[in-house]
Amino acid sequence: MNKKERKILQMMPTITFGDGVSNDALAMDRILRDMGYKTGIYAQNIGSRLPAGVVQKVEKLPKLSKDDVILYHFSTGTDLNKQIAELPGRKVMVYHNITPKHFLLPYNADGANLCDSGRKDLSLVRDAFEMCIADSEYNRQELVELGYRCRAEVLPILIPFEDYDQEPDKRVLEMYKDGKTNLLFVGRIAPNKCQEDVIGTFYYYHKYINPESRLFLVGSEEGMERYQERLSEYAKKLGIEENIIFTGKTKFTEILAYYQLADVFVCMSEHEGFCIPLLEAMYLNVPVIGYDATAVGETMGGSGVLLKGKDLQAGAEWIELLRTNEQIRGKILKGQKKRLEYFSTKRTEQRFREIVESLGV
Amino acid sequence: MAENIEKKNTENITSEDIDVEAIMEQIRENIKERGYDKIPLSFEDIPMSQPVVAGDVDYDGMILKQELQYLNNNWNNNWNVAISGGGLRAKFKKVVRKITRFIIAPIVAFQNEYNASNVRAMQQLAAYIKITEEYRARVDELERQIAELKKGNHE
Repeated sequence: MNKKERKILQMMPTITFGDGVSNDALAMDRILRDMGYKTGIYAQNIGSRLPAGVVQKVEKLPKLSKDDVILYHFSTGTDLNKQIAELPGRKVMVYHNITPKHFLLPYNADGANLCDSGRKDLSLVRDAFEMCIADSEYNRQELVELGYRCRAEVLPILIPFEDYDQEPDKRVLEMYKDGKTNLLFVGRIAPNKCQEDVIGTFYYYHKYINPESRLFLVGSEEGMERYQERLSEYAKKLGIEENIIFTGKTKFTEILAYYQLADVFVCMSEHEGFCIPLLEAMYLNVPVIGYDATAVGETMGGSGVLLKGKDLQAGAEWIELLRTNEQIRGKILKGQKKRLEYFSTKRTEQRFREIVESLGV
Repeated sequence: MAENIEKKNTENITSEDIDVEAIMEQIRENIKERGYDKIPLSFEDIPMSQPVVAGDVDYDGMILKQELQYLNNNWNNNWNVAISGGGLRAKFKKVVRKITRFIIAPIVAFQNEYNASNVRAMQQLAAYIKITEEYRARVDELERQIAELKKGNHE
């Protein structure tokens, strides 16, 4: 049977426009088609902004033979996690990690339970897969610790960096073109991302070092409204609420504008399976300060400034240093550019092709 | 706070040509000079709003009774919302209400059925709790009698 007759299909609970995991699936689909396979993406929930016909509902999954391959993107709790094990064909998991329940429970019981059931499913279905592809070594290790004995490869998320060369949103650029120092964090408003510690760092920076500064917290608060409320209240009590901008859900070109405005990117997250915004900042020439937790250190790979502890005062000092010391800033940006080579689209695509070839489909 | 900054708790930069030690020395100096105070409040000091779905809560019969009362009074929603005011604006709203009726009405009807079902289920649970409370009272009484009997035998 030649490749044209062999299927490599992807399945996932949810696919939406612009999301990192969804972009990863779309890029994989393109590469698999280039390689000559019959492809398709099947999801339970399909975002409305995706072009029609690109993704099908799971119910439309075609009949599979034992030699066909399913790449299953595992990232949350869903009935699909168990159904996948019952399907015929060879199965490969693409593991994107799952937020631990304890972060979400105080704010969103449903979301926490979904994540919890996802983690339980992860243990239950470990024998269903002949191979796993993990976004990071951190994710791969998690699978090993859960008792996965199959082959497990690390493949960074495929990021379409060329998309980041678009024109940033002019309205946002105009709105904040006032010479102030801008700090930035990009990511969903979520307790595992610890936006409160970014606010705490900004508090020290704004109060003791540079009152002409502001903080952009870019990301949707959907499902985490109660955490957002608490963050806003925290900023208010610290007397810095007027200098913190919660953007909510934003368009891609607006995100590009916030990166362009940013002097320093500050990440205090305590749980990341990969953390795409670190690489976005690196690509867009923003020096990165990151707290060394889960996969953050691995993604930064020796570039940027990696804080080993949550010392918010030292974080504030680093921000000022990166803003004012051209020499250090230049060296950090150079180091970040070097790190980006590892995540280049070409390199990651090549690695994905090798992994697929090794399946012998 | 400045004293707390130790090397193990600071930074890891591997760019060969950056003198991290010198930078850290400077940062420690700056922290001393600026005289940072402790942050006036921690995030944990910000109270959480009452969760709609709470994790660990103690049973409170009075709250159950009040919530059931609320559910009983509010399970039925009317899609045909009243439109106040007058003039062109009110007329426009009435037209919008009329043309969206075919979408809204079935959704509201389904939601009302679902709400009613939830209220009935809650009432059943409340009735069951009432029975178990009666059993609990009987068990307490029997335990008290047993203890008295035991006490009498020993004497």
